Amino acid sequence: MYTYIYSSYLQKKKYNPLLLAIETSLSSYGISGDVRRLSNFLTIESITRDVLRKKSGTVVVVGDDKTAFEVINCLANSPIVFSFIPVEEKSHYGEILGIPSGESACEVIAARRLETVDLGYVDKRYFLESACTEVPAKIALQCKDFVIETKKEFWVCLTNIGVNSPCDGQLDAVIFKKSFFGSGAEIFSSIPLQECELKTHKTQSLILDQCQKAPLPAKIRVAPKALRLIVGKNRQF
Amino acid sequence: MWNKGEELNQSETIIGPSVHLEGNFNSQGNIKIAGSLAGSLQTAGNVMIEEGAKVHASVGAQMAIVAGEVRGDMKVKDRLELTSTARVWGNVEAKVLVVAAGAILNGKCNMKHGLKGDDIVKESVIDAKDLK
Repeated sequence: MYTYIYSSYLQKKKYNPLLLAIETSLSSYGISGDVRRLSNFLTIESITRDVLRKKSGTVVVVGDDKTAFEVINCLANSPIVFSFIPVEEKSHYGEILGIPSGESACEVIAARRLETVDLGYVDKRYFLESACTEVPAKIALQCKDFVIETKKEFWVCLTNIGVNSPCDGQLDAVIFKKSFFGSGAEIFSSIPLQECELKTHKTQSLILDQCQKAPLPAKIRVAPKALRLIVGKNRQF
Repeated sequence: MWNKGEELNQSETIIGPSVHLEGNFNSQGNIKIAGSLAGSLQTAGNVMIEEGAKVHASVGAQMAIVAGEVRGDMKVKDRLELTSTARVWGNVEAKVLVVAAGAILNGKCNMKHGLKGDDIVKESVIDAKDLK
């Protein structure tokens, strides 16, 4: 059973042709299902509560990364399968999961390539890819058996996807500087860990999956095998 | 032979310059250290201690290359290589030891090659007979 959650901004008329094309494609693959359009009266929590009660099925977000982030948070540690049809040309989650935007995503969902991945957990919220600091700062990472400190200012990201596999039961603390001459980042340190407390000498927040902020200092941990999702061939893990 | 370049790319843990780790660090994978570490370092994989790195810890690994400074005992199951810039203050134990010219090693050296003490004596007796 498929449940499709549409981001609230898709109510605008300009999206109608795209949504029609997506619905036609889903129908041709035989995977059409319940369509729920987010609004002030219909929230993600109420929709996912209904799905979670059935203890099986697939929830597909049609829309943007922010909606996907919130749905992932509701489905974490449940048997419900998550998937995503990005509507925007550039979608962070779309790139990570190897799902193209628009109508082409339907083929990936129909293929139903399933993965069970870990999630990161901080401040009562889950993240799929990373939790990164906003600005460079001197860092102190307190883990169970050791402490990591930096003498200079660095960015730090607790990554689930990008360095090692998101199925290994660990996060990676990546400490890096952004390159002035290139677009990439120069990695200085990469340390696998399961839980830690992150402090920085500047007041700032952690940005979760480029979607939401969490205050620092914060305790961060891995939630092993917390999400089942559909991925494409071109996924980043 | 352990390919240095490959090892660096495959490192699961990298402790970069300007980063200090203190405590007991246990791992199953390869570790590259370019910063500083104090406490204890144990891994089932390989360790690369780069030039400029400072390790004040006991080290246990499958293989190790040292180009920086180590103050502590090193127990390496297979091959321990000290490059010309290595500075080691501590006892070392390895199956194979490679020391480049210029390296400093202050400590006892114990080479384990699978033979017991008695076997070594017997071997040397046989050798002496052969000479006669």
